[in-house]
Formats: sequence, C-alpha cells, structure tokens
Amino acid sequence: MNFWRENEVFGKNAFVILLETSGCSWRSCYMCGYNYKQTGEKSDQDLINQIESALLNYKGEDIIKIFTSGSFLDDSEINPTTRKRILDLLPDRDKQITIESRPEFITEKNLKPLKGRNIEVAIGLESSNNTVLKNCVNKGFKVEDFVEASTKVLDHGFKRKVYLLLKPPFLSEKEALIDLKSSIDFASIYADTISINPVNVQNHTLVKRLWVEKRYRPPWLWSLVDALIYSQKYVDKGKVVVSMPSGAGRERGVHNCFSCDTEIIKKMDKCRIKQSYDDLKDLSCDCIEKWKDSLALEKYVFGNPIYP
Amino acid sequence: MRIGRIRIFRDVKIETPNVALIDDERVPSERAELFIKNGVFLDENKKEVQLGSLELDLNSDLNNLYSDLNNTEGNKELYIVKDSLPMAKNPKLFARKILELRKRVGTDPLIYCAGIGRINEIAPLVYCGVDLFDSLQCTIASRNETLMNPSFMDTKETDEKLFKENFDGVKNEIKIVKKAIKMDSLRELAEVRSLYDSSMNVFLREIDDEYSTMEIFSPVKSSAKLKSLSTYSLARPEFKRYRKRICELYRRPESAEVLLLLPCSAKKPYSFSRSHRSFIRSIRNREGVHEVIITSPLALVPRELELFYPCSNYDIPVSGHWYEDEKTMIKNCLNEFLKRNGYKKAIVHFEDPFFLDVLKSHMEYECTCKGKATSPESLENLTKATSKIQVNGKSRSLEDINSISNVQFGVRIFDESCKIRGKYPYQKVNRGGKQMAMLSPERQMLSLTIDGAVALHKKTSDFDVEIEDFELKGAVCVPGIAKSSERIREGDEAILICNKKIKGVGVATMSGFEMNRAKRGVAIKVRHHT
Repeated sequence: MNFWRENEVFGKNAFVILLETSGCSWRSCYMCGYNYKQTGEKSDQDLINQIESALLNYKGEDIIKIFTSGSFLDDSEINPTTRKRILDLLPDRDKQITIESRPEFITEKNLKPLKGRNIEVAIGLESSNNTVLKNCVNKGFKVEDFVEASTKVLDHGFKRKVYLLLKPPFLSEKEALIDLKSSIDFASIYADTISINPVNVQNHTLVKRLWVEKRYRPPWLWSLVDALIYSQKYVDKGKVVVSMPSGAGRERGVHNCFSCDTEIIKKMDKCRIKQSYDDLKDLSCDCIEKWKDSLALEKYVFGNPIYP
Repeated sequence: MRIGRIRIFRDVKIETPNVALIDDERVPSERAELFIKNGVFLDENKKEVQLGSLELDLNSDLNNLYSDLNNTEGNKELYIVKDSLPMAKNPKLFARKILELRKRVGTDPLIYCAGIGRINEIAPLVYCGVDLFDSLQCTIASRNETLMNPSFMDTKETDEKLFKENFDGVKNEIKIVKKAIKMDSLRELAEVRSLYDSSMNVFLREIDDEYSTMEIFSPVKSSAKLKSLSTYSLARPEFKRYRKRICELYRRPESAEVLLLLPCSAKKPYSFSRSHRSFIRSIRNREGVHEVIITSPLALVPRELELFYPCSNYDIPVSGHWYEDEKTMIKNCLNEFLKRNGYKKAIVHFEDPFFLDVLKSHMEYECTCKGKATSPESLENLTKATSKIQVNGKSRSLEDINSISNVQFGVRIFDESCKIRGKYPYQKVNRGGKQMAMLSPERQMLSLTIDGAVALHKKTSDFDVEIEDFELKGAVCVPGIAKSSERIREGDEAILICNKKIKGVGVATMSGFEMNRAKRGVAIKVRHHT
C-alpha cells in the first residue's frame, strides 16, 4: 500500500491510495509494467487493513482516489463485499471518490452498489482508434466497448474521466500527436475530465525492449504542450484536461533536450491547476527545431526516433 | 563484381553508391543527383526514377514497422533496411544484419539504409554491400551544430550554410568511395574511415569476424596493392585467406629438406631486393634449402610463392618493429605450418627471431645472424650453415610450380613429364611441346591453356563452370551460365564446360556464388576456347 497527496485543478487537493491487489487481470498492454510488481492474491482482510492504515493519514482532502493498478470493479481483484466495506470506511459520504476500471467490469451489477456516492469512474481508453488500440497498445477492448461502459457510468449519474495515451509504440511522433488530438476530440464527448498520459518506459514491457533497441523514444514534451494547447477549446467548454506525466524530463519519460524540461514541466503544472493552457504558447527552446524535424522526417526512417 | 561496387542506371543517369537528399520542407533544398520524397526516388530534376519503390505508408500496416530483415522473398530490386537508424547504434548487430541480407539477396539488388549517411559510415557500409544512403544524418549533425569531417567532429556555431556544408561533405565522400572502388582500394578507405569513428570501428571488426561471408566477395586478384595500414588489416579477408591456405593446404617441395627463415623486404618480389640478392648469393646448395620469408600480414611466404598473389602485391611499412598482434599471428601460422611440413633442421637468418620457441618445439635450429642480416659476418654464417646440405642435383622448378598450383587450386596439376621454361619471373609449363600454363608478374597466378584446364579438371571440379551451348567469344555473361562451382572467386581461373566437354578457359570476373544468383553482368573473360 502506498498513499500520497496531489494538487488538483482549481486549488483543490486529493488523497491518493494505491491499493495492492492481485493486480490487473488483463495485464497485456505493451507499455504497462505495473502488473509486474503485484505480489499475488490478497485476502479481503488484507485489503481492508491497507485502506484503514492509509486512512490514518487522511487529512480531509477534497477528493479521495483509490487506485489498484488494475480495476477497482474487477471482482477478481476486490470482491463486491469488500468493495462495499472499503467505500463505507471512507469518512465523508459526500467527498468525491475516484476509481479506475476497464470497461468490461463496468456493469449494472457492479455500479448499482455505488449508488448515492459521489463517484468518478476513470477508464483508460488510451486512443479512440481501434487500430492503435489493437496494434500499438494491445488494450484488449474496442472503442465501442468504452462507449457502452461510459454511457452506463453516465446513466448512474457518476462522473467520467478518460485516460489517453501519448505515443504508444509503433507510432511516429507525428502519428502519435495526430492520434492523441483526435482522441481528445472523441473523449470530450464521453468524459468530464481528460487525463493525458505520455508513455514512460517501464521495465518488463515491450516498450522497454523497443527503447533499449533505440526503436522507441518517449514523446517530446513539445508534443504534450501542443496537445494541451489544442485541448484548451474543450476546457473553454467546461471540460477538465489534465496531465501529470510520470518520469517527465527524464530519459525514460516524456522529455525534450533535458535543459528546458524542468521549466516547461513547472509551467505545465501551473496551467493544469489554473485550467488555462494558453500560457504554454510562450515557451521556447532551440530543441523545438529537433521536435519539428522529428514530426516531419521520422516517416523517412519508418517511424524510428531521430533524436535522443 | 563484388559487394561494394558501382552500378550505373544508364536510362536515368544515376550511379550507386549514392546519397539521396530528403525532399521536405524541413530540409534545405540543395543540388543533388538523387532525391527521396514520400517513398519515391527522384532524379536531379525531381523526376521519378525506378530504382525500386518503398513502402512508407505507416498507417496502413502498423505491425509492418516492427519487422526486421526477415521479409526478403521475391525478386526485388531494392531492399530497405527499415531499422537502420536504431540498428546502427548497435554496430555489431548492424554489421551482421547487413551481411546476412546481402548474402540472402545476392549482389544484384540495391540495399538502402534509411537514415544512415555520416561521412565515416559510408565507406565501411559500402564495403559490406550497402548502396544507398540519405541526408538525414546531415540534418541531425546540423541541428547539433556539428560540421561533419572525415577525421574528426568539428563543432560550429549554427549558420544557415551548415546543412549545405555537411551535405556537400557527404556527396564528396560518395565521390571518393566511387573512386576507391574503381582503384580497388575500398577496403583501405573503409579501414581509414573507421579509425576515426568508434562505432564504425566495431562495425569493421564485426564484418571481419564474418570471414566466411566476406571471403566470398573478396577477389583473389585485384589491381591495386593491398595496403596493411593498421592492426585491422591483419583481419582483411584477402590476407586471412592466404594465411589459411598456407596453414591448411600448403606442402613444402619434397627435395627441400632444410628450412631457412628469412626476413621480408620492402621491394617485391623479394628476390629482386638488395637484401635478398645477397642472401641468395650466400646460400649454398640452394635446391635443398626451403627459403621461407617471415612477414606481416601474410605470415609466411615460401620462396616459390613470392610471385603468387598477393605475395608481391602487398604493402606494409617495413620498420623492423613488430606489434604483439603480428607476432602472435606469425607464431600461430608457423606452428600450423610446421605441423604439416617437417624438415631435417632449420636455419634462422633473422635479426630479431621472436618465434624461436615455436621452432624449438618442432626441430633443431641454428641462428646465423650476427647484428644485421646483411652484415658480412651474418652472410658468411649463412654460407657456412648451408654448405653442408646434401642435394641430388635435380632442378626443383617443377616442384615449385606445383606449390603454386597447390595454393591456387588446392591440387598439384603438373606431372613429371612437364617442363618449365622461361626467364624468371616469367615461367611457362610445357608438356609434350604443348603449353599448359604460364606464370607472370602481371597475372601473379597460374593462367591456364586448354591443356592446363584439362589437367586441372581431371584433378578437381572446383573451377568448373557449366555453360549453355553457344559459340564462345570474348566473354561469358551470367545468362549463359547453367551452374558454377561456388569455390570460384573473382580473379580465379574458370573452366568452361558444355555437355561434359571443356570448351574454354578464362578468368572469373565474379564469384561462383554470384554467377549462380545474379541476373546480369559479365561473369568470365575467356582466354582460350576450342
């Protein structure tokens, strides 16, 4: 079990609990290495104990997030009874609770017991393109499955959050950016909050292997900046768009030339909290030319990265 | 023909090896002989040219991107190594993959390494069979404010001309590479270029380790001197092949029962040098002495092979200083040589004999050098040591010619009835008044007549080329060949056979491996036909 605090948009804050369950039952996405850390079956009491000890540190934050590196609604990770007990343990019944789940577990049966709570269901759609989902992510579900699940969440009156992936493997920088933007367009119909997750290189993944072979580079920060600026039009219409990339500014995470990264990441985070990405337009660094080269010329080397 | 050769596309006026300028808004527009845009090659006027087409539609098949060189079926004219750019970061893997591809597709199709083309990469890559490069590395260098240079990397303030300077440098290197190909000096250029580039350094070592493949594509005779420039040269396939033949094939002339080890000379053939003339003058009973010259990178050159290629066609700085690598190589060869060739005793006429421990394990020896090998005292010792040798008075010239035959063909083709005529270094082999073969300093190998071809064909089929039934003239082209022995290398003698009859003999201008795979090109220059 692990827990931490995060700054949320518009000055709110969140308490995040990372539950150690048996892990994601799909465990086949090309970029995901979380599952490797999971340590086998967990008893119901073990899960309850994890929540109780985490909650000792809870200081009344506005939002409580319960993540499992899998699906909160997957019975094989957390059985329905335990799920109910966990929710009852949370102190304030009106506080927003964010949970994550794959679409196949978002069912009538699983949603019903959550009724009456202030729930936000986050779904990792990653891309709105079925070809990308199948060939670049190996996500194991289709966009249609997401739409169905998302509609159910809405029908139950819960909030909806969508995770989108920036630069899954086998896409060039430009293809990845194009794919992300069209996914943002799509997700804006089905979500209240869009969270953009640039791929970071995790051990024991296909992405890691490609990265070692120099056939994969995590996305440029400039691509993320570009996508955030693009998404401003949805922010203006009331959507929330966030990105809290892990490993940003490092070799294995979303990065630029390593000299401008820190400043950009700082500014991005300010923009996230303010929900105003227009300020990002002023950023500049010499390496932007390399990013533009990458967008234009990677197709000549079959999508392989040109710059480190 | 060999890998690393020039191909001319006459109808479109394009020669390979060449570098294509990427035609994109992000790339400054410069003059170029070849452009690449959206998967199509364009000529200098940006008209589409057919060197073969590329698949660049990345969205159509995403899995396609994650494939390597395994998909090489069909009669394609052009192969693109899609993952060249990441692969080049691992030069060992890159070298193996390129050679593997070249061996699989034969020498006809072009190979294009997408994204590759630093100045120092070009010569080593062409040497192992790559034909096409592009300007991406010029863009990268220019963004990194680097001016590419064959001998070092220069950093520079960014200026608008940097890309042009870099691309001009690469175009110029292509010119130099083509020149080197014409002069048979590509290997030397590849060695020099890789000295300044650590990843190409690894690359060259790796392809040298792939001796069995590189050897197929290395001619047994070329026009230029083989230069031994660095320790890399020791691994050059031509040198390695010679050493293998000396260690694994060679047998000493039977009548020469005393081994005499001599130093090499700068002048070739050795026996024309001042030092060797004085050695020869001092040797008594010469027919019974087997003179073997110790040298790098060939290790051992028996006197009778001094005319044989490459023994009088290599060049190494003669400084009297031996590197440990050379010493080890020579000692290993000497040991193998002595395992196959026994002598009554050895005379070591060598200033700094670093190989005595090897010699000691095989036989008794006597050192005759006091100071310099050419000093009067040393020469006198040499005379003394050789005057006790007993000889039968018979000429050794037939045995010596058969030694060459043995190293060149793997068999001794001349029997006791053959006579040797001519003034050294020119030698003719006659039998019953008919000439069988000729050895000349120009050819540096035995060149056969029809009678010689008959004698060789009787002993081995290694040099047989089965041809279709047609009238022989100056040359045989690939379509006229039914099947070739794959033992044949460029420069070898080739026996032309049709309906089990010898129709002619000539010199192969490509390897048997290629004759069996290529679709076009001159394969054999005919010397004699029936």
